[in-house]
Amino acid sequence: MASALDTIAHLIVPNVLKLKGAAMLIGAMERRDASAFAQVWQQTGVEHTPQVSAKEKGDWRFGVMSLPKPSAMGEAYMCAFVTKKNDGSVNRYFTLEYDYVLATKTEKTILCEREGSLTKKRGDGSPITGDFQADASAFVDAIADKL
Amino acid sequence: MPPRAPKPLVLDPVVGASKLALDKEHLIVSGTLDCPRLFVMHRDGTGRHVVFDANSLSNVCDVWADDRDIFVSCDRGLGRVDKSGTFRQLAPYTHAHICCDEEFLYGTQGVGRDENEIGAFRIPRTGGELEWLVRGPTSALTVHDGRLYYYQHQLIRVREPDGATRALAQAEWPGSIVVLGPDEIAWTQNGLVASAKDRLPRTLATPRIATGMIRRGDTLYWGAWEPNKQGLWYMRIDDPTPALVAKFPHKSLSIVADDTHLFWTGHVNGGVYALPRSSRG
Repeated sequence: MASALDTIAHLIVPNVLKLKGAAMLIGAMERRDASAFAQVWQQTGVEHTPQVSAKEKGDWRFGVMSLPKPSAMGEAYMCAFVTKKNDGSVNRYFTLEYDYVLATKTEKTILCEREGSLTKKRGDGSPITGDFQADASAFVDAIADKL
Repeated sequence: MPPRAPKPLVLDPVVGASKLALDKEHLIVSGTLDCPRLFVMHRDGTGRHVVFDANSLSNVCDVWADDRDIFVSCDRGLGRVDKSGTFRQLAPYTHAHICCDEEFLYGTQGVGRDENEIGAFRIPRTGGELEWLVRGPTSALTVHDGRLYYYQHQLIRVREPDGATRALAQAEWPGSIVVLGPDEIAWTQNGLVASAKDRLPRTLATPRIATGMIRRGDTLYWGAWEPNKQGLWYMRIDDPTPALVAKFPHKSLSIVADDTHLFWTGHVNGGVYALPRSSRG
């Protein structure tokens, strides 16, 4: 059974994206306004005050939100909403997920993208340092390489 | 042929300048990404001094300043800072958007651990008891003549000094709310610059992306992005024909002005820019 954090990252937050659109959410995140996601935490009962950040790279706009610290595979450190500057109808959603390598007994991150009801792995993710702004910036760079 | 919009002065090219405020003599800039988290500079761009670097502070949500104080909401909560980097916490809220009048510091808290700690509040500028004015997810606040203008549940609302509230306009996460009259406001949101008088809305412009907005005298200034038309825009309130003030690659996220100049930050990847107010295109 999926954990609460897994469900938030892969079902509830993507549903907010479907309802509001990436352009709207990123616009709010540029102003550090995370109130668009207040209902996610209120209705799931998960205590979390998200940090948000935004960036532009090339033709793309990115909004990054921190998620509660993951403890199991399938849970995510942060998620990103992506749209095009010239086309606000483009809505893409990425997660930076916790992963554990059994062979080496080490932790790492993987970059995933949600497409419909599927979560697709897009390769190794950026490292987590604990500084949200630095981690968000590295996450955006990792996504930009895949776009 | 219309006059060509002038190029702005680049006061600081640092990437990631976000919110901007103006005290008696300095510009106060909050940054993200590759930028110091809080720094000050003279209005000509000289004398740059870092108050908090990325090692001492991870996240600044908002900054507000006047001739008396500088307030920030940041990882350490909401409080007053001085330019030496001393932070005095007034409230524990880390994601508040803030503004002030003579007596109070106002904040909105859109998310939080406890629903009793989500809403709009005020606290005496010198510190003291925090008073909740509005409950529920709230953002984008402005204070004018004792009235609190704020956004909540797809509505821009006003709270009168006696506590009564009423809706002024429908909106979707406005970037800035500007007061034009007791029941007249203007605002920016995704894809729209609009005003409403007596709850009757009017579209002023429809850029693909609209960001910050301020009013100075009879003029509104806002940031917008549109292919080949990105930059800072202005419009006289009595002549609603928008025109480009300054064209540059970034739209204007946070805008402030003194008697002679406009200052703004260039969206999420830009720096700090200025332009004499007299040189608008």
